[in-house]
Amino acid sequence: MGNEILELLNDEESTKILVTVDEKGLPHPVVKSSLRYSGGDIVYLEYLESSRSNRFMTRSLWYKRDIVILIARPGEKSFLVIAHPVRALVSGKEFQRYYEEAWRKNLDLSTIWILEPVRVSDQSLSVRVAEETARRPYFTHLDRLAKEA
Amino acid sequence: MASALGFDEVAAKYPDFPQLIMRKIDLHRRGAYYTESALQAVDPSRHQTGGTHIFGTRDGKLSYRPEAFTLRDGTLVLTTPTPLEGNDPYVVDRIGEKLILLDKGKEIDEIFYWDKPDYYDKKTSRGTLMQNVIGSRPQRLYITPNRFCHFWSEEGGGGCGFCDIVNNLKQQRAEIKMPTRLDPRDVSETVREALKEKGRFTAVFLTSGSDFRGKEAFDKEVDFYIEIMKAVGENFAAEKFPSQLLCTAFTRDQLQRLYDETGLTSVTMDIEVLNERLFGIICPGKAKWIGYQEWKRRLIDAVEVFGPNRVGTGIVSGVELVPPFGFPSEDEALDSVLGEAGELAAQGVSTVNMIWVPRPGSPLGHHKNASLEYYVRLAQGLQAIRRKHGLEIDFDDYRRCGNHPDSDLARGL
Repeated sequence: MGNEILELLNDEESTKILVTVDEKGLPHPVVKSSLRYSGGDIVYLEYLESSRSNRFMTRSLWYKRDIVILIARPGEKSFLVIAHPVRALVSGKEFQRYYEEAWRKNLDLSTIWILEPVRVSDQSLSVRVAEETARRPYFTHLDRLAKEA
Repeated sequence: MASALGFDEVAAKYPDFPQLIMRKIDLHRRGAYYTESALQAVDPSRHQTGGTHIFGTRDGKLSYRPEAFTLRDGTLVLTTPTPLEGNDPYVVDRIGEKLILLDKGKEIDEIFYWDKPDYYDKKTSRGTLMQNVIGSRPQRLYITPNRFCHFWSEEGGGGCGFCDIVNNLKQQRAEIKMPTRLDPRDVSETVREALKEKGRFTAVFLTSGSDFRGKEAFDKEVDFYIEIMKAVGENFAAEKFPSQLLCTAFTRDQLQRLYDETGLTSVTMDIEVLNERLFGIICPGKAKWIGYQEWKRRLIDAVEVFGPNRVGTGIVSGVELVPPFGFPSEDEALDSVLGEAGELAAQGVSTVNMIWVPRPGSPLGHHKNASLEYYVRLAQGLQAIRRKHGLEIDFDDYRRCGNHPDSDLARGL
C-alpha cells in the first residue's frame, strides 16, 4: 500500500467503513473509526463482543473470505481495500496495550483484528474518470467530445 | 467403530465446520509435543508455564513447559505436552522466529504461547506464591479452592474413571508446594493484584473436588465456595460479577445460598456422561451420592435460581465409547448424547463437551478417545441444540473458558 493510503488510514478525519458479509451474503457496512495502519498491518479495534461485524469477521477468518474497507475524505481521496483477517487478538500484552487506548475512551475492548490487504484500488473520482476515459472510450456522451461552437 | 477419517477428509466432509476449531479438536484428541527448539522459545519472564492445573498432563510431568497456546483466531488450545512414543501428537516447533504447528511433518499454522499475568510471581502477605492461589487462562481467573475430591476416599463410592485429580495433587504438593485448600485471604489478595492488570481478565472461575461432608450432603463444599467467593467479591464494586462455579450438583437450597450470598452469576454442574447406565459405571461416586436423575433435576432447579443462559453441564466426550461397557458405535452414542442434551436444553440447561484426554494417572487412562469426526459432529450438534432453544453460552464460551469446541462455535455460528 502506498504512503497516500497509509496516511489516509491513520488520519482521524477520514471516514473508514468496514464491510463484512452475513451468512446469506448480505453486506454489513459499518463506520469503524478505529481502523488504522500499525506495525505493517491494517488493524481494527472491535469494542463490542456481540457486534455483527465481530461475528462476521470471525466467519471471514474461519472460512478465508475477504472483507472490504473503504477509506475516504469527502471531496478528496477515496480508496477501497480488499483484505482478509489473519488474526484475532483477544488476550495478551499486545491486546492489553490497545485496551489502554479503549479505556481512555471509556470503552471496553473485544478484539484486535489484524488484516492483510489483498488488493487496493484508488476510488477517487478524478482517478476513476481518468481511468475510464483512457480505457473505455465508448462510455461517454458525444456532446462532451464536440467542438466548441 | 471409530471412523478412520483423517483431518483433511473430515474437513472435506464437513465444509461448514471451521477448520481452526476442527484443528483444536484434533489437538485436544491427539495432544502436542514440543520440540527442544519450541521449549527454548519459552521465556519464563513473559510466558505462562504449566503445573498449576487441577488435572495432570499426558506425559506425567508438571512444570516448565508452555501452559498451552492460542490459534490465530484467538481459540485456546488446552492440550498438555504429549510424548511422541505410543501417541500421534501434533508437534510444536520453532521455525525462524515463529512457533509453528506441524502434523506429520507438514506445516499447519502459526501458534502463540500465552502471556503470563503480572501477579504470577508475586506472593501474598502470608507468603504464598500467587500462581499457586489462582491459575489463569488468557482471560480467566482460575480458582481451585479445594483440590481433593472426596469421591476417591473410602466412603466416596469411587472417583470418575477419566479423572486424575488426586494423583495430580500428590505430585503438585511434592513438586511445587501446591496447597490443597486455599486460604480466603490469599484469594482476596491475589484477585486484587490480578485486577490491577487492565484488560487481562473477563471472568472468575471456581472449581474443586467434590466434598460430600456436612449436615446435608455437600454442605461443606458449598460453605467453602461461599467463603471463597466472598473473598473474591471484596474486590468488586458490583454485587454480581461475571463468574462461573463448576461444582457438584447441589440442592436447590444450596444453590440459592450460593446465589444469594455471593457475586456468583452462573453455575455448571458436570454430569460427565449423558447416559444413566454409563454414569453409574464411570462416575460411581456421583451416582452414589446424588444419582443420575437427581443430577438432572438439580440442573433444572439451577435454571430457576440463576436464570436462563446461566446454567450448564459438561460431558467428558469419548468415555461413552470405552469398551466393554460403552456404546458399540459412534452413531449410537451421538444419537443418545444429543437426544439427552436436547431434553436438557429445552429446560434451559446448556451441555458443553470436553474432549476426553486419557491421562496416565486415571483409571481409564490406557484407553483411546473417539474419532475426529465424532467430535466434530458432537460439537456441531450441541451448538445446533443451543441455537434451536435460543440458549446463550456467554459464561462458558471461547474466551471465558475455551475448553469446549461446541461453545467455541457460538462466536461465529
